[in-house]
Amino acid sequence: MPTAEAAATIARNVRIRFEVSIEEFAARVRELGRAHGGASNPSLRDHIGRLSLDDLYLATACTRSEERAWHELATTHFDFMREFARRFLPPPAARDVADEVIADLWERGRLRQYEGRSLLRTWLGTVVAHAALNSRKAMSRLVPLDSEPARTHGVDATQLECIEPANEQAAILLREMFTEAARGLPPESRLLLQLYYEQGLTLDQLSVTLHASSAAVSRRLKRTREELRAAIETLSRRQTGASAEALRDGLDLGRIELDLRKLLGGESVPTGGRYEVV
Amino acid sequence: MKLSNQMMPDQPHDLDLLAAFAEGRLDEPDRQRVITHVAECVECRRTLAHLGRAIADGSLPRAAKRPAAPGIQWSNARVWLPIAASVLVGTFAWFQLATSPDVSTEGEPPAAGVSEEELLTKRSGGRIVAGKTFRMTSGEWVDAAFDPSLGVPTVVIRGADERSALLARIPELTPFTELGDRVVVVWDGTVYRFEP
Repeated sequence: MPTAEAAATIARNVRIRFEVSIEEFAARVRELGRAHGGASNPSLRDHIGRLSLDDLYLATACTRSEERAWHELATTHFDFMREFARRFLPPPAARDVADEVIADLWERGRLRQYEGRSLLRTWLGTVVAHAALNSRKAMSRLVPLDSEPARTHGVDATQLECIEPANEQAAILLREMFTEAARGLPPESRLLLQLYYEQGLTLDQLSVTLHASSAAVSRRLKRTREELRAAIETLSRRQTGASAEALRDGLDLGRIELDLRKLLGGESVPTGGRYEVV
Repeated sequence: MKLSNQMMPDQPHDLDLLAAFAEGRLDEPDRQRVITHVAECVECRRTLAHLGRAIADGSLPRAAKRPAAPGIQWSNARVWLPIAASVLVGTFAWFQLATSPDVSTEGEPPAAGVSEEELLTKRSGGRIVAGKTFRMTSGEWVDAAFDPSLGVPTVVIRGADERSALLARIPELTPFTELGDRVVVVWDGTVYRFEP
């Protein structure tokens, strides 16, 4: 894609208001396009067509330490960032996290990581969310050990004692079958289950997150659950000769809770772990 | 378009790409690579879930342009929209004739800005709080996303002290606790069961 064509596209979509010239900005856009595999003209054109060019222009001017650009960034986005952090943390901690992200943008040049593939506001929201969730995780690690006695991942230890060794073996079997069945699902189906059951998104929120209608999400969710149940059933019959239902009945379910977060999330499951059955 | 190899499951998180995914701007190969990563990475999944909530409630903007997501969207609205409209009108007419007269909201026109999900929830005695649907079950307000048969980690919060301590740590749970003394809510990969 010739520089002149890139410059023309930019001129249509960007308000040139800082010292970064249209040619300099076009060079930056082309460099980003090439970095993302857009070496040929059509793919470069496609890449540029997807970018939030005006936001990228603002970010580029900021990374060149233009005072007016920083002023615009601050007045347009910093209050939003502090407010957004409050979705995850109480006010004092939220402000600290947001201010730390702002300092990162400025002092450590983190704004260079913004490549215009989303709106700048969404990118800033993503960075704040990520930092706030990490901070929350760190805060939860600081909770005194004696404040949550006998509860591991929400499983009450007193209830764990109720599971007999034979049932424990069946529970482990079921868990392994669940993991194997879930692993066999396409990633998109697995993600759908995770966002709904693990993260607790509503159908409307799933619809927004996955860019499909609520009805399509609902149908797909139902189909995925059926696929998962069928796969567990097949595995159960193949491995134990019994149905998954019979295996569950043998467990006196009503007490074990299969930990979907671990099972679907692919985290390691403690081998000696017992699960509350619901 | 080549995807940054930062989105491999065991690599650092590419927040630039995650933000673009949340806005539905990626082409299909990039979109699939992000899905594969997020299905494995709980940190990115949590972040994505929060972005989805924020976009749904208007705290973050919806991007104007986004390519179709194959496999889950119907691509040609010109074809299916008139058919769907006819089916909808027919179903609505049947529903009007068939519904019993003791439905409290019958005859009320749908309020502007009220979604179908909200109307159905209201009719069935449910409540929608901060985008989540709750139904009264055995004296508890239970989040519709709660599915005990699949299960996620459960934390039981008993009494006012534990409740206040938790809300100080996770303030976004506050609107749900205002439903009543007994509430079950799924939030950020955990079930919180509030008891008096």
